[in-house]
Amino acid sequence: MELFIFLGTLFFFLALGIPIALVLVLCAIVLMWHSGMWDAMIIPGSMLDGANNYPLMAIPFFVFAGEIMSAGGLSKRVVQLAQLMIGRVRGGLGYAAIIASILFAGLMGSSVGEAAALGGLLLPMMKQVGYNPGRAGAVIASGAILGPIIPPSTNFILLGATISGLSITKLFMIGLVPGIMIGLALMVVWFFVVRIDGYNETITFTRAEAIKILFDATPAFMMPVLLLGGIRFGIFTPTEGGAFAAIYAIAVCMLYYRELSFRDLLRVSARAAHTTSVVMLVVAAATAVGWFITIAQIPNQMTALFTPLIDNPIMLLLAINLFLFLIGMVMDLTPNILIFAPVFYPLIQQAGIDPYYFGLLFVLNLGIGVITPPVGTVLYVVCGIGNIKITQLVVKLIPFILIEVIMLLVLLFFPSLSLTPLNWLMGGN
Amino acid sequence: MQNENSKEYPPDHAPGVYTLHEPDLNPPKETKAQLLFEIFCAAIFLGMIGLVFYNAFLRYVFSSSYPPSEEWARFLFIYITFFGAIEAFYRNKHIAVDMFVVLLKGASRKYVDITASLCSIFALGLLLYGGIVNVLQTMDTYSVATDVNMAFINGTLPIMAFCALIFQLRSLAVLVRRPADTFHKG
Repeated sequence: MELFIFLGTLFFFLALGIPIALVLVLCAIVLMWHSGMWDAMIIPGSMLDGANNYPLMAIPFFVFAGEIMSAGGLSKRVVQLAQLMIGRVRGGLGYAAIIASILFAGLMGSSVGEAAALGGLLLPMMKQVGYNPGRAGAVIASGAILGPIIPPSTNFILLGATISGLSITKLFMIGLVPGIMIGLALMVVWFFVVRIDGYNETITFTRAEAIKILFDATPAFMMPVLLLGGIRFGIFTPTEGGAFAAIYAIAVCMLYYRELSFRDLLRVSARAAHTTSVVMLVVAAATAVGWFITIAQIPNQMTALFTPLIDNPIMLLLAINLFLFLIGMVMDLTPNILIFAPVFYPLIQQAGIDPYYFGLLFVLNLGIGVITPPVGTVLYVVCGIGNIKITQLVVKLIPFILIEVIMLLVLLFFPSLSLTPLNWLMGGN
Repeated sequence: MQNENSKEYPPDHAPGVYTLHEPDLNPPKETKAQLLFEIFCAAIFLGMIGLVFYNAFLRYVFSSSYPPSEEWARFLFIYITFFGAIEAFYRNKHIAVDMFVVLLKGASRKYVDITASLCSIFALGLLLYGGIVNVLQTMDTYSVATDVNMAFINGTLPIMAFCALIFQLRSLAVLVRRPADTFHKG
């Protein structure tokens, strides 16, 4: 009963267009009223507890670092490096966009930020060499979903902070190899698209240019290496890693590239604060509603609903993933993680499914939601930057979405594809 | 030289959803309030980063730690969360799904928008009232490592709720006065 009250109020208030943070507060109020525990202090108290969370501080740090890198010239170097790596191949700009997406995902943990930064740099170039605007936008948008998968992913930080007992470091590590695999799969699709669409352009650099690009891009390329190495070998926690990334980005952009002024730093801080507060208010409200979800035993009701599937983990995962795919089409990634992770995780534990493997499928599936209509944040960002019609973009995106869904299913049916590399990366722990 | 391409941002809000990274394509001229907000955000961010990094540095290099640094960093995080949220409420930039309401027009759209506004006011009113009760109950409580009165920390939520409530009441008044035939699809 409480499960349907929760879902009913959630979708009713969402449909009214109320900000999601307030929708969650309203859901908490309804559940509080239903449970007969009326106390106005519970919700604000839980919200303050939700915001007073040390591991979650990694989110503003990575958001801040990503914004600095976008404003301070690091993104430009990453794109040039990607062009140098693969530009000489036919359709090189498209491959470069995918490689840059992989590299960028290692620098900033958000799909929307990645799409905005790469789209701003690459879309004009792609249009200039004659790419169909929808196709150019599609390759940028499809690459942007690597942001939530490849570490440092702010979405994995959210998941780790929402579900107690999950190590953010292990979540980071499980995303690395599947993220690269998805990137390679996108390149396979691009190989065929280039031939179907008839793109012939290549990019070549002189030796002097190549050396300069390599020299300039080294600090950008080193950051994810230092960051992941530091986190993996226990030199710093993911939160401290975020602080390191921010300091590194400031030092490189202000002192080495000299493309970030103090005035830019102020602007970037305000932008990062804006993003942080929008995400964190949803986190705080989700903590309050999570308290009532636990009290109302909603995860137990969800478990009861899925009981016939608990003995068959694959069928259970397929059912959950179908639900997540549909919900990802109408709601954004962050609130989906905060609302549905506490609901599904007890069920997953009961079915004996590895929580990190499920975390990967969970974030990847909801990540695909940012490029599926009718509500896809990355779709709108790419359309806005490239001045592309949404229908034009969606049509050209279909092969990329299909391959990403296929990759999701491959990872679902073959857990060892993600768990074996995780074991290697964690040294068998 | 600045990278101009990286400054080309998407429009501030697209149909279907309010996005997270959404600087305006043509931002209005910067006011003093905006500059103060930027300085406030930069101070908090750099403070948080400095405190967390300092603790990691102490631990790694000197095998010691400075316990108040983590607590100060968390308090700054709460400040940026709730005071930043005021700015987002002011600019109407919190994430919301508006894919259904954009299909409506005329009187139906007006009544749905008014209902949404009233629901938001109710939620914010509860946060304001509950937040004040929470502050009053924690007036005599001090944080463990930094000895800060918790009212200074817990007070951020009711302050945010109060400011958001004012903005919401103002927009409700505008909605009520606006003729129904000026509400269009999209």
